[in-house]
Amino acid sequence: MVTAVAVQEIVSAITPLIGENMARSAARVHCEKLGIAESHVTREQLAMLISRLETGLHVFVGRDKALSLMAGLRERLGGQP
Amino acid sequence: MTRTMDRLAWPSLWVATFVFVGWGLVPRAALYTTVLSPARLVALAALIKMALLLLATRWSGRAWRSLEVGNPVRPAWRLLAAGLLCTLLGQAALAPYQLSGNESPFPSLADLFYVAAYPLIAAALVMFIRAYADTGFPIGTRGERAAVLGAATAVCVALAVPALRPVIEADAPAPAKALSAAYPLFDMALLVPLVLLLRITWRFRGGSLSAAWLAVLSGFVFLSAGDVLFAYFTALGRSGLDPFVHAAYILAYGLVAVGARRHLDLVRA
Repeated sequence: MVTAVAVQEIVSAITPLIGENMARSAARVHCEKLGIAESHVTREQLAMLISRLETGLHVFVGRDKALSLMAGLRERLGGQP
Repeated sequence: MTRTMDRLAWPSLWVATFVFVGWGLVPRAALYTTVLSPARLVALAALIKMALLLLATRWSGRAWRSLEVGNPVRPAWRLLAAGLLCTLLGQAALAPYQLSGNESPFPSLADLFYVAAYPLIAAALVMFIRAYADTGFPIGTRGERAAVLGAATAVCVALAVPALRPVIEADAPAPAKALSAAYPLFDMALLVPLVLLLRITWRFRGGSLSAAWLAVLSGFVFLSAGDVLFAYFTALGRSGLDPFVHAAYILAYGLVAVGARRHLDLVRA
């Protein structure tokens, strides 16, 4: 999948909660840490990216809310839970 | 709930605040010499403060219980709820005097609760900062946080000197003087983690999490302002300025309550 498309999808999903600035920064930081290339992201990398963001969101809004927020993303982008 | 609250809570909070600001600005206005006499306004302030603190305590407590065991901010919410409960008990201890039109004693049992609230709230704020720093979200480097902490401490120390001078120089019994000085000092100490949390919150601007935190943190800023005004006016013997102290506390407790409710909605939605 094209990285920019996947990242945009993720950013759009979490922006209402944490704001666009933090959503973009968090996605960028985790992409760098996971070594995700700018051109292409694998299903496994996408699953890891969503999982990392979800772990952080647990602290802010609790596990259940973070899980439900990311469940829709996993469905759309195909990342494994 | 958030939308309903925005429709009801904000206008009610502003009206309540401006009633007391108006009392301070135009105390001889017909409204304040007839319907809302000073005794009635003091009683009304006591009731509003207790109601807002009750809501803030309840919603913080529910935010604590709504988070799963093991979540690092769960104990922070519990401490915050305990701190707010202490403040509520302090206000409740003063209520019999304020509702019956008698002058509130100072110091009193209420101060025991008010003082007990500070370490609980401060510990909660520090716990929130630590938990947020470990989320892996880019909330700033350790160096940035240390710089903000240093700057906030320096500003608070600089503010403490002029704020405390009239309190220390006032002709008052030693216990009253010590407590009058202690409240602004505790508030300054509370402002340090508050500034750090505001800095973190700023990075989340535009999101509902940021809006919730902004309400809570603004509430604590107004609480500090209320305490400094109280110490200042008590030291100067300017009881005519009490309406502004009431307004600051009402706004403070209201903002904390609104922020706690927004957090609760975030966790439960």
